[in-house]
Amino acid sequence: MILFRVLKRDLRRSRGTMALVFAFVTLSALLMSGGAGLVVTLFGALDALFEAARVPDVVQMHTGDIDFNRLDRWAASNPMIAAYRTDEMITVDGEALYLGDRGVSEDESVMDISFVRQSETFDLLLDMENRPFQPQPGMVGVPIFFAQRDDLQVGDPVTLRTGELKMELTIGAIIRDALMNPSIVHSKRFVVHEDEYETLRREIPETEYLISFRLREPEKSEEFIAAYEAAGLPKVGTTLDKNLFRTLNALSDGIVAAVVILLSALLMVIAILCLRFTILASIEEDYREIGVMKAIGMPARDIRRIYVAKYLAVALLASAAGYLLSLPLTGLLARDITVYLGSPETGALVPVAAALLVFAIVVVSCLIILRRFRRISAVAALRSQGIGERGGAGGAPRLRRLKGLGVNVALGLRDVTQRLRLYGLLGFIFFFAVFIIIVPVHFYTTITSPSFVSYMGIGRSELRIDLQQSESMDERFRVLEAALAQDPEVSQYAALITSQFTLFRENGESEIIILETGDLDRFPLDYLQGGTPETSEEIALSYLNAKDLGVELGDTVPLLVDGVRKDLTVGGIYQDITKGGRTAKGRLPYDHDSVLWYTFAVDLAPGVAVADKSREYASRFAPARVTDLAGYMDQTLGTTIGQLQMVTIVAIVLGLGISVLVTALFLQMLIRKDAGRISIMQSIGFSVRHIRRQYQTTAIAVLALGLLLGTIFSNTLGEKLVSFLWSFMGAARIHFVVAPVKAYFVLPLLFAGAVAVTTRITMSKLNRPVGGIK
Amino acid sequence: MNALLKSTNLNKSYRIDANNEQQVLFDVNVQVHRGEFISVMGPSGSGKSTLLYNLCGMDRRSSGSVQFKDHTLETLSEPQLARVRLDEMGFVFQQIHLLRNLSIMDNVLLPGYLSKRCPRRLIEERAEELLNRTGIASLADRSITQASGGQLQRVGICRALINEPDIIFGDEPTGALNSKASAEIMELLTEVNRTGTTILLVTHDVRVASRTHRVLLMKDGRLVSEKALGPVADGSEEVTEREAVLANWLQENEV
Repeated sequence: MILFRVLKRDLRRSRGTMALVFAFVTLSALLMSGGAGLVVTLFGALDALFEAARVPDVVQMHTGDIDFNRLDRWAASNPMIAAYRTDEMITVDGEALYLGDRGVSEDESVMDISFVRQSETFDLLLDMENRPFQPQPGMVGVPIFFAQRDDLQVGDPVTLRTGELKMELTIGAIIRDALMNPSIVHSKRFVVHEDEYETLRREIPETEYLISFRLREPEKSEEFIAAYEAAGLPKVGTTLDKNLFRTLNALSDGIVAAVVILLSALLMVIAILCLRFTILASIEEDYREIGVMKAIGMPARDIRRIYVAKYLAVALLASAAGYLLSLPLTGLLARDITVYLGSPETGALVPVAAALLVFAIVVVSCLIILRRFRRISAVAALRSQGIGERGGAGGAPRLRRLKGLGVNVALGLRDVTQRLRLYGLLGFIFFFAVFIIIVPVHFYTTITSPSFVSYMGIGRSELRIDLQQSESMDERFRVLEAALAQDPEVSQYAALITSQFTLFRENGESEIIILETGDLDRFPLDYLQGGTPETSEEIALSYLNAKDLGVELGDTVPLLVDGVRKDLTVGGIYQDITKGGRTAKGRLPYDHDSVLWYTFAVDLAPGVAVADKSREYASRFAPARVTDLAGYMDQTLGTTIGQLQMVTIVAIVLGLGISVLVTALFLQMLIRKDAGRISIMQSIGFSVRHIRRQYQTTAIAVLALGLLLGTIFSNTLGEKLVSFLWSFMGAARIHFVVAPVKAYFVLPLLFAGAVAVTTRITMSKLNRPVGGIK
Repeated sequence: MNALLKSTNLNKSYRIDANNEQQVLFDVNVQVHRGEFISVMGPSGSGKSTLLYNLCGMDRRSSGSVQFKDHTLETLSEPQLARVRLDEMGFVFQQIHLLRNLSIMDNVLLPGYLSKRCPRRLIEERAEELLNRTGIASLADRSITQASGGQLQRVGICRALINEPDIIFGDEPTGALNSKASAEIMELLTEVNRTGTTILLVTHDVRVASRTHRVLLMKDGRLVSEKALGPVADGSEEVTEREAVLANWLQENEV
């Protein structure tokens, strides 16, 4: 029964630690289950939405006329096609559209707005119940993006005002559009009744086509795209396939899930470190008992078993609690998913498995730590005083040398150097806490800073004017360029033309890339490698394109230029997270028919108000879209920034919370461990205040070390980590923009304050008469 | 002549559980005069150590009063008491209680540095002189794990003397030492006493008690008797005689 006495005492003694370990394991299981639940929900919802919307496998956007007969004939003869349809879309200038009753038009929106009819066969636009929305006359289906942004409800008004036309509509449904749901897709479809559609068509000449295909074998979409291209069919516009829709839809929530799972792993590490500390401390305290048990012939296995039983129970309970708590968390995290994609029927299997994984890892770690039992020799245990703190004054400077510090500060500092391993745990946790706070803070500063444009494949200019696909695009481009050249308030501008080119892969297949030509020097880009193409023999590729093609600086890529295959040397690689991260730049002669859009980058003369100029150009050259840089970034990255802000706040709360908890726990254990030393000091005249100062010094010194290392690692490894995560989106080398006051002053101060207060409160336990010296 | 240390009707009880208390000191009245060398004897559990810790302010009395110089100990706050112990009292323990993480020299210097009554230079000179006087100067920079029990107790005495206290309290200072080391330590303490430092120690060893001026006898928490022996003259012949006297006295008191 000695076993149970040991166990009972151990539980009583380490109540605080076990509570903390319990909390960490619970949190870890909570986040792991939550993250897994999020992933399951995300893909479940995505599948359900794609199923309900009958998403096409390949979509070709096209502006201009279509020879329908030819297309029909080709489609009929192509065995890969299961079904196909062409849908006309009316392109509406943002200026003409008023959502809700705010009286503000969409002229500043980066979204391309078009009006369509509901499809009968596939590529359906769904309402919030995932049913195809069939608008009544006078009704309109509004994309979820706008409904979320402006808090629009069914029944709210939508007004179209352009030229002679004034159309009053009522929102009949909020629309989920499997192709164009996410905010990073800059096209949005509104759905109206046939009657309104006809009216609009008479008034607004700009149309675009969506040519959509369902394939017999959806996985062969690349092959199909190549065949389509080879047939010389209409393709003035982007080509998209189902995989891209999936990626775009999953992107922002996928990142949140990744962060949550990462956080869970982090907490698990902390939990295991705390466990290690607790287990070692209790083994140390029970060293003699363990020795006695061994001496009287109890096998080490049996002794180990009682400890294992304890940690097994704690890990099991904590994992179960974490799983249960994760149910509401998943609901919360998946709120966006549910709104944008719908709520799928998901099984609980994956979250349960995730919680079990946490449990298994914790238990295995315990078993590894407890292997130490085997190493305890009965004789050594009975004869020695413990296995803990060994040795004497070695390794630390003599007190005599530490002048000018005050005895208590000196003792506190010496202690850190003497018991480095012990304080290592605390330092490690401070380091972690600092890391998980500073990395998001830095990244937040970076993504909200204007210099973030260098990851978006564009140079830095005050205004951007976009001319989208329309029949009169070329003409408007010339007019606009002339206007910019004559405007004295414009200091400089660059015209950039984005068009499609055919690129040949090594295996002979061809694909379309979008390439920007024009005045590439005026607003230079930051290149990862190399620089702006200087001749028509060179090309610059976005990071993801270069990675996909497997090319490096100096390699060549074959492109179809003026109908001739031409090898271009890769002269530069740059980062671009827009347009799926796949863009290119070159000085190539472009085919007017394959131009996708024109862009002007504009800088204004000193003293000219950006907002005024932006408004002026927007109205003069409608439907050209004029945005200032901040607006462009905000509209493109807004959702991500919002999520990042949440992650940052959570990280700060979590990091500080962990620091406070672990400091309190650690000091409590330390005071117990140091009871002898403390009473000696009290007996020779140290007051509680003196001793408290020693431990406060120690804690702050360890914190300073953690802060220093955490900051260094955040700026190096953290930068690499963020770059790695973002490399999937096209930005492989992100340099943190640092807000020094926030990161290097406010945060450390916050930490120091939290730790000092925690030390103070924990050490108040010392406030009692000496005693115990005997 | 005013007493240096004086207890009046000193009582001490410990709480055993919510309803029970155990009294360990009953109305103890002690007077210690400046320059005296006093020992407290008594069987195990008689309360002699408790008395010591209550007299020096490490433990708080339940009732009664302890007067040390012009301080009334029970009225002092924890920091004030700590200050008194630091500057005006010294302590020597059976288990010596040196700090393992400090060198021998640093252990001696520590209370001196903390006190700040004297400049560091003076403290360091004094520490060196004390180590010389106690014959352990060569050990100054060693770790305390590298010295014998007798040597360590000398370190303890040096530490107790570093702030030139009025009184040294000793809790069985020779209890853990062999007879040779024990005799040497008593020699040292006698010498310290001759230079004017008052000493009050607790012991169960007749040979130790026989070297003190006055012996107090505790039984069941009460001061039952005392024996005045007077200072030891130079030369050790007298010591055996004092031991015999003491042994007889103890027998008379059924100890």
